[in-house]
Amino acid sequence: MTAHFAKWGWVSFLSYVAESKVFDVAGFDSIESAKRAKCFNVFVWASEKKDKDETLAHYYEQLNK
Amino acid sequence: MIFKYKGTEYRYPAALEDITLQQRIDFHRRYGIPFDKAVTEAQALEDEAARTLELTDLQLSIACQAFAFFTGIPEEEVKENFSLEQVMNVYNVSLAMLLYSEKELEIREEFEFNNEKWVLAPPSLTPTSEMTFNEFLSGKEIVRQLEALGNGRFESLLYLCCIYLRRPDEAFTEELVEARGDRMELFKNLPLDIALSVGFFLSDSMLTFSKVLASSKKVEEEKARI
Repeated sequence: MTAHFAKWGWVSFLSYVAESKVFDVAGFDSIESAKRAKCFNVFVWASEKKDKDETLAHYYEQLNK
Repeated sequence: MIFKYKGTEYRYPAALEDITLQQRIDFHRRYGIPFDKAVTEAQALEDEAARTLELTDLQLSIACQAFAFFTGIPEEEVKENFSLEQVMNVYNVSLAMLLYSEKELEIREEFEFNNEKWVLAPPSLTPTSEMTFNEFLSGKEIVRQLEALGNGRFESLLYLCCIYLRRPDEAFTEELVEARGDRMELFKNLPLDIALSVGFFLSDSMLTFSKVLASSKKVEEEKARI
């Protein structure tokens, strides 16, 4: 993820968060909703999502061995 | 510090609080950037004598430019009517120290400016922190773009002050970082000691979380073990 930020910047991370629609706020579009979310919550979500993705990838890797 | 020249009183800064953030930005844009570039080129000269001469010449030029800039006396007039000794005395005793030295600044979270109280809303990431993702993103993106444009840290500092230095209980809004907005115009007059204190405080806080997410840190530890 650090490499992603270095290459694409934090603005693309905003898009990534917005596309997930985890932080929808009534009356605002996805981007504005993501911007209004508490920063701590966004980073915890991103961190947990990455952990989950890595765990699943590892699991499927083990299945294919 | 005050002195008289041709019957008129002039002053030059003797402390960081005598310089505004905008003055520092302007000086850096007008003289600092070309000076840094010229110094780099001079240091690359192979001939030692030529290198020494060039660096000395640059030092004298920046001293004259700083004297002219902060007193308001035109540069040509400074060169004609002030001795080298006078200019270098002022530069070495006051201006160089203010412009280039790493000074020990007291790290504070509250400031008095423009007859108001201002507080730092530090970018600390805790479950109780009210900082929005937009606030964090604005800071990162502005600094990234300004660095890409080569505008230097003082211009970034102006934007970071607009984001993180606020009235007590004031929430972040994008209006705070509007170019030529009220906040931006007000903070151009921020004394440099306050601006630098904000910068030091932020660099301490942001290093703890701005570069690495928890999951990325786990990946790095895995790689190190392998």
